[in-house]
Amino acid sequence: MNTAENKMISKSYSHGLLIPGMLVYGIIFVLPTVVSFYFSLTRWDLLHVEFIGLDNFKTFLTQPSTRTAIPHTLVYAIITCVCKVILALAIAVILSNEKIKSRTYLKSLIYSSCILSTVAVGITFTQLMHPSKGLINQALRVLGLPTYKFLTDKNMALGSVMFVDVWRGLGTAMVIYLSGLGAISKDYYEAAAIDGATGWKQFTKITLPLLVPSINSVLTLSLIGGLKSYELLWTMTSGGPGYSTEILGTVIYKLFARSSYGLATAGNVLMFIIVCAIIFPLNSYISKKTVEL
Amino acid sequence: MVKRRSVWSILGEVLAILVTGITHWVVYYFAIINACKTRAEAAQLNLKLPKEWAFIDNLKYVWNFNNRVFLRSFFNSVTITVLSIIMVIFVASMAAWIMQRRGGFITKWSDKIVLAGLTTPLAVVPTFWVLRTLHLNNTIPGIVLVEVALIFPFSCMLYKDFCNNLPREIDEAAIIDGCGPLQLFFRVAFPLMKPITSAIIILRSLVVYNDFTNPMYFLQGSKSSTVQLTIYLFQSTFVTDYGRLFTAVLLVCIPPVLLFLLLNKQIMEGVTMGAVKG
Repeated sequence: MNTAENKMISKSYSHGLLIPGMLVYGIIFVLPTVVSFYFSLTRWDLLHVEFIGLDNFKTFLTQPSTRTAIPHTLVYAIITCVCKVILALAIAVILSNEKIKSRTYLKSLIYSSCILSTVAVGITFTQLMHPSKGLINQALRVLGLPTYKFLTDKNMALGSVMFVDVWRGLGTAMVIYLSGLGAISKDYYEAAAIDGATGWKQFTKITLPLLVPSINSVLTLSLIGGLKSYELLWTMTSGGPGYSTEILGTVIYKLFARSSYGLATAGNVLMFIIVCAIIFPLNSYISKKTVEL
Repeated sequence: MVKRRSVWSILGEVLAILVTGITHWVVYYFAIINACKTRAEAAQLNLKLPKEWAFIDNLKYVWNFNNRVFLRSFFNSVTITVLSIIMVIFVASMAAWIMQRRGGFITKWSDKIVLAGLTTPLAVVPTFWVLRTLHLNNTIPGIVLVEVALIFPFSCMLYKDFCNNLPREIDEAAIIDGCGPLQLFFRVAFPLMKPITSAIIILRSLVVYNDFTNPMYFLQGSKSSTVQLTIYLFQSTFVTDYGRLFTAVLLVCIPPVLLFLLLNKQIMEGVTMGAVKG
């Protein structure tokens, strides 16, 4: 009986259907990831390989053009992620209130920025943040406030791009929260109201604990997105002024463009290590906090 | 139980509408109105209505610029998007179907490797090297394969969750009626996966169309460049010609905006699919 059943399974669910997908994924994604560990230890021009040990990593972590990339990447990813997690939660909680008549409109409008291409958003905001005639500075001038060189001041550029990143990414986080909030049964709130718990207490004792899965996915998605990000920074500042907005994504591209393939691969391996070192412990920590319904 | 709305609640709503008006509508209006201006007027970068409406002129200029490079790259973008999505739908649904339906060593490990791809960043240089070895760098088939490999893990996960809820009794009935593995999948299982297939088509096509990083690496300086690369280059070509620059920006945004206006509800629902694991 058992062998007949096994035979039926292997016949009806043939491994053949698994092959096309795994083949593309294996050759284009898995194989490069695996060999990247070896090539990061070499001087490499795509044809000739020379093993040089950990030299690439030493260079990457000491050269002025690359050594700031890791701290910048961490700052960029963590700050944009925290802003999205908190701001989107606040917006979603407000919009989940059924008394707000324009909630569908507001939800669509806030989400609309997420469907636009990052390059288009980057180009538009670069002009809005123009140091002398940009609209933001025009508005500040009208209000009698000091103007800023948003993208050309070393101390402001990274922050300005982070602002645009949050502007663009907020919608996705908000939509995820809204569906999480929609799944929380109204009974909990009614029961809490009878027991005398109001507003803030309901939020911290009911909403937040039951929303942990949504918070987890917003956190993970935006953190991974931030660590891998590249497009917005490349469009708005290209890593400048100086090296003040270099992150791993821009540095790897620049090294690739000037054919330093081994060094670029080392940067990629560092990105891989950072992503894994942050995401896996974080996920296991949060899954412990998840409340069973 | 129905309470009257407090003044604060109404005030809050008005405030929310005003704030989003500034953060979103002003940004969109800025891009649109400046696309309608001549070079001299657009250089002011303000929100005033144009004295001379130049949108049609700008459109003609962008359209014909550099042997219609915009049109060509737009066509490439659409081709890449369509091919990648069709391919990923087939390979991911088939793979997920097998991974969900049968156990064993091969499926278990495939599953783990695919899951790892959800977080792992693409190793760009070795990927470039692989494509070059296969003579696929700077070609449309090459970038299509990269896009497929990148969307594969997420699509697989969605399909697998969906197959989990498809009752096995359906398969058994089909097998008894004499369906082979291919018939079982294409005639029985795949049609049932329609809801998740459409979610993947809608959301992933936005991702592929808007992708900038991968064409930047894998379609360098080639004729098959995409529309995102083209507007990126326009930024330095039309450096002070903001009217034409914003015209190009608007043109690039037309397909996603149309999709958003037509399928607003499906897009919003699609975003949450797979975002929260049950």
